[in-house]
Amino acid sequence: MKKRVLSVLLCTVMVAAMIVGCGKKSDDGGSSESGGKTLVYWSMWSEEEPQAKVIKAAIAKFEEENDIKVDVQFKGRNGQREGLQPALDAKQTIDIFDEDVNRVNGTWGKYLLDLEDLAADYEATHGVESLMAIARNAYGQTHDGDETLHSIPYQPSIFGMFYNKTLFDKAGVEGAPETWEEFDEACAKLLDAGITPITADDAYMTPYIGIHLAKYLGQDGVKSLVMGEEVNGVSVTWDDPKVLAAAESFADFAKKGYFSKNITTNAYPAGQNQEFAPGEAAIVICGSWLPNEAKESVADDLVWGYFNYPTVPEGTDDNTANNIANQVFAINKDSKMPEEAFKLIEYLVTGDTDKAFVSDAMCIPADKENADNWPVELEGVKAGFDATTKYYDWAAGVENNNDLTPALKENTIKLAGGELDGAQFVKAMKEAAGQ
Amino acid sequence: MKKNKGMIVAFLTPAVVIFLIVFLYPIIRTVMMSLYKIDSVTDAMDLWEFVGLGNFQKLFSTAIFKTAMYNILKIWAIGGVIVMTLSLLFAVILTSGIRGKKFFRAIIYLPNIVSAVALATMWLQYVYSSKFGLLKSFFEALGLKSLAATPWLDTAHKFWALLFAYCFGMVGYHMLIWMSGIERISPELYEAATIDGANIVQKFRYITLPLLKGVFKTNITMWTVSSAAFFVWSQLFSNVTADKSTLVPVQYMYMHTFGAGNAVTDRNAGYGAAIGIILSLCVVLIFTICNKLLKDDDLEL
Amino acid sequence: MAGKNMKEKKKREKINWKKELKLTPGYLIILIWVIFTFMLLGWILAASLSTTSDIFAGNTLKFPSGLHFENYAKAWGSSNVATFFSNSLVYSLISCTLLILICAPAAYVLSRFKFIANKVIQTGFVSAMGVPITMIVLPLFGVVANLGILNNVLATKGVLILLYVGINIPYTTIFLLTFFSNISRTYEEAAAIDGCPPMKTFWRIMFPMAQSGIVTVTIFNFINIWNEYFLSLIFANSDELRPVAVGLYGMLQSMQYTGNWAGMFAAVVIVFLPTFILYIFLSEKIISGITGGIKG
Repeated sequence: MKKRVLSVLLCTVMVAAMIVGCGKKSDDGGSSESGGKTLVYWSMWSEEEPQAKVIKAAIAKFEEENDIKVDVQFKGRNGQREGLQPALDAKQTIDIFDEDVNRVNGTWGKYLLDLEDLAADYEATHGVESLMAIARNAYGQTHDGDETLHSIPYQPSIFGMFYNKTLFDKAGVEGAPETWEEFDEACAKLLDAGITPITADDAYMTPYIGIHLAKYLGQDGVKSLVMGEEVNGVSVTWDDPKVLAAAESFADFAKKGYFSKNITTNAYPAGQNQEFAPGEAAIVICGSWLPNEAKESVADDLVWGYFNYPTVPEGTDDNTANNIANQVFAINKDSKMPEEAFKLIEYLVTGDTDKAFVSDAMCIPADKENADNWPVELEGVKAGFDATTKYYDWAAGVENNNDLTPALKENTIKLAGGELDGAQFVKAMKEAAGQ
Repeated sequence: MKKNKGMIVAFLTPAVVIFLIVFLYPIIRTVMMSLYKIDSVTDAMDLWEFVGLGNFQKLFSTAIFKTAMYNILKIWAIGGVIVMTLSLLFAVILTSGIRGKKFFRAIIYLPNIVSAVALATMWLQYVYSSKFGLLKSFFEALGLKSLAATPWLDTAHKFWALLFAYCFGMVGYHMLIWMSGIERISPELYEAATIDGANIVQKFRYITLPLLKGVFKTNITMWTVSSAAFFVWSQLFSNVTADKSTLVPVQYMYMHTFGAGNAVTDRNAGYGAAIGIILSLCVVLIFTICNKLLKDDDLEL
Repeated sequence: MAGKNMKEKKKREKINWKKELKLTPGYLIILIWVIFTFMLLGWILAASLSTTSDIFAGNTLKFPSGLHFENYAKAWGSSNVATFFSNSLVYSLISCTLLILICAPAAYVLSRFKFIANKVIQTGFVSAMGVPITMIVLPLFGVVANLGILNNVLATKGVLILLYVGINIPYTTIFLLTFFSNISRTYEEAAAIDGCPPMKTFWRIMFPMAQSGIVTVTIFNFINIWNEYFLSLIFANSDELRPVAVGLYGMLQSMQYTGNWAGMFAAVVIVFLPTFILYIFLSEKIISGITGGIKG
């Protein structure tokens, strides 16, 4: 009887082993048996995303035209964030990878190839100045101001206030607000017309308060505030009257009933998909990826509008300061084929591929030559994008302190829900910061 | 005993060798890492910066880590009582000779197989929704207006919303463990008890419970292990950045090991390793206490 | 043989109303929970056939625009789904079998005999279970990658299986401890008197007696390995290696980022259904396999 049990088990193993063996035959998995060159590209996208499909199609064409094979691994955001560095450390063959501009240049800075010479021609004809500046700055920030180019930007995005033009018209609001007073007036009119003025999702509450604080304090001020240390010569504490002023103007909006009554319970994407898209709320704070995410839920009469976060009274920054982020491609400094790798990158961020990103994934174009080729939904964003001259990090740096962010998120939600007033918010944050 | 010695070695060797191959190096490395400041988990050792017990000191003086530990303690203790009670109750009912046992067992275990992403989305966007949620319509139907208006996902209620959602998925798992324990008890014992005139409660009290001691220990150990590793649900319940009310240690560890949310934050894998060690010690502690309290007294079946 | 007879007897049994009446409270409690479960999981199924706008308008169960089977077509999209499934099946089956063959004897020895290393091994296993998986997997990846075997598909599959087995050894062994410790020593004594060597006694007598535990832990192992994500994410760097969990996670992410929530639920159902069918099928198979072993 022992034999019987064992034989059942062994059979299972054998059958399984046979399946493994069969699976083996179809293998060519990126090994260089074809004799030609193979580039290995680890991608931050998941295979079924529109971006991945654009990239796959482009790579197929690239392989045909250039006699270079490309082994593309769609690792997804997690795969990249958790797995890329171990793989690079273990000297796995990876020629190209991509991710957020700050993470690539900061966290993975030591693996990057200097692209200054390789990219000179590209930058002159295709590079968008603002994006190139952000890419250089991201490297400089973490490498003692050395602003050599180490990454090629694509997929730019901007963070701000999206609004429903139809609802604005209905409430008689003319044009997008640029200052805090205009913002206040617009919300009052919307409220009078029976429309919820502003909604947001839990995911974006910290960037919301971050951008708000940055208007008062500037980005260095925000960073100093959350890190509890001087940043670039700026030092701000929770006792600063400007911090209180910021908290109070936020609380004032809550008191006037401008925020959706669901703002304390909105779990992403409830705010954008349940309140903004169907036309219940007029304004939502989000990034320019919103139209793509909400496209299946938007009301038929929704007309997309956008404005940068308004200028506040006596603030440090006005509405030309904003967070423009992008993804970047970078080349591993150990790559044996840097020229070929750059050729592929250039192919992916310019011309037809860039156009395909715009049309298939509602992205902002990254090629200067496609600058007039914005998606319809994002036309309103273009003005805000072009007007931006000062570049914030994500959330203006308010999320930079891991130990403080959870408390900040909770207290911001309470502030928006009217559970805390300005002074109580500051007090709660001071306690959370251990001061 | 000499004969046994050969068997002990032969039976243990494969398990211990494979265990050592897989775990020895990573665990030693983790213990060492906890004494250093390290950017990335896979950084070479010459990039490590020795800080002694600094990581542990910092952990114990960080308010948010204490919050995370307190949260996981609540999940372990309160969730544990809920899950153990319900799963034992279901296991006893299902083994009491009711019809459709296999069907019920499969359905109750089902939530444990479904991807947590789908379950969490279901809870967040459907059950707890303050616009059209299941709970809202349920309480409205009962005429309980104030309960219906409860904001289940605001900062005051989110923890309980999370806890309940998690427990719902875990009941089936622990029920299967209970059932495997009960099914092993020979039916003759119950028959004998019935002849002696014992009722269901007495049979449960004097036969089932004492014989389930060992399974109870397994259940507690497994519950403790899954609590220590608890993290996916917290992450799904707090989008992008962690919520204070649902933050747990492993989530906190991730924030410090890989960076949190969309911001590029300071990373310290050594700090993460220290958290791992604290969690591991907690598991060992509870396992040891359980072993002390629930000694197997060589029960004869 | 006895087991089978009893089963048949049960089937033939007429409904005993007195007995059923006694069980009514039990039925009630179970029914409430099962209905609740059906409502929740039913919602997921309904959402997978609905549209994203209906899900967020609270109309999931009303299907105002009919049933949308195209969600499934979209979610299936990836041509590699079949490969992912067969990979997962291979990994799970081999690993589960090996785990039982390795851990059952170890658990038996640990539960039966007192020796110095016993406590050390048990504590080692338990503490290993408490260490977060990232701290185990990432350093291992460094070591394995440096061995240079990750470019060979078959070797990587072997490594993956070794890891799935290794990672689950503590869990499986600790789980099975109880199931051996409660078996009476009289069986071994009787076998010893009959002249049966201890190892043979284990496979012939003790192993089948722990079957309820072995079946349960195999089900858990199977589901664990089937759903294992992090290890595979780090180690499996080509489509021929990826199991379904990694593929599923990719699908879920894509669906969320493109705001296709109905598609996301469809992807969940696609991956879940086979697991469920396998669960039912396997639990029967394992049970009959082991009881078959006892009879032989």
